[in-house]
Amino acid sequence: MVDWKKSVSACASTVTIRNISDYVDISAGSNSPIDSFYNERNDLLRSINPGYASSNPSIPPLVLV
Amino acid sequence: MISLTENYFREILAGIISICPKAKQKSASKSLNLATAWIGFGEMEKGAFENTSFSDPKTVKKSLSELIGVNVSNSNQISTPLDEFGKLCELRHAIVHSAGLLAGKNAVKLELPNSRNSVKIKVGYSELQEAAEVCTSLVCAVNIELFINISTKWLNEWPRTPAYRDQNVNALFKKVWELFYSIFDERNGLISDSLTQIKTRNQIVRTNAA
Repeated sequence: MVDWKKSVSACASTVTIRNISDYVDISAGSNSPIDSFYNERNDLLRSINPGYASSNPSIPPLVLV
Repeated sequence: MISLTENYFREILAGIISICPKAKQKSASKSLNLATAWIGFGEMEKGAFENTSFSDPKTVKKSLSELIGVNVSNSNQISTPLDEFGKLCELRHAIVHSAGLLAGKNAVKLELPNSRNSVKIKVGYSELQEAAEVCTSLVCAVNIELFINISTKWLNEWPRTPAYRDQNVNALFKKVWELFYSIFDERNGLISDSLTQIKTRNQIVRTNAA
């Protein structure tokens, strides 16, 4: 029998995170704080170019935060 | 980008607390979560800022003033980039908490014109580059102001503290230098008055940190 409670949108899957450790890494921080900032900033800015930013407008705001 | 700037504040303040007896004194009553003893215990001081969000200029000003004694005013170079950073933080709030839709109070803080419809954040490549320049400008300004402040304390205040009375002042200055010195800026010729660690130390002593 069709269940009206499931009539408006997809049902939730039963996904679980296989291994949360796969989502993290041990940070090896040995630079000065300003150099850590520069390194991370440069990695972020390198990941996006003008063409990519205009074809994927939802990405630059995420890079900003 | 904004969270990198926040992390800079956590790292530099934690670094200062770990070497400066004056900052230690002012931060001694800060609370640490027990979990800091298990995760990230190599940088225990950073745990003091776990519950502090630096994506708010008021928090930045308060921390710099209360822990280090640096007051952000028009007379130092932090004021303008911090104001600009504050604008980015308003945008950040909308991006993180409401799918990029700017709440009325955030829009008013940015002095945007009235609008019948909701306002959505639109950040393109050039805006992202500009935002990165703002964050970089703030980090550079804070790094220089804090270096001046801590170097002055290294010269005038640290030797009189029981913690450092009989310590080798040159070894102590090395810690200050390593906390603030940027190899990146040096390699890219971005340091306007490039000096070695020893020449800088000698100049601070000779000029009485003036």
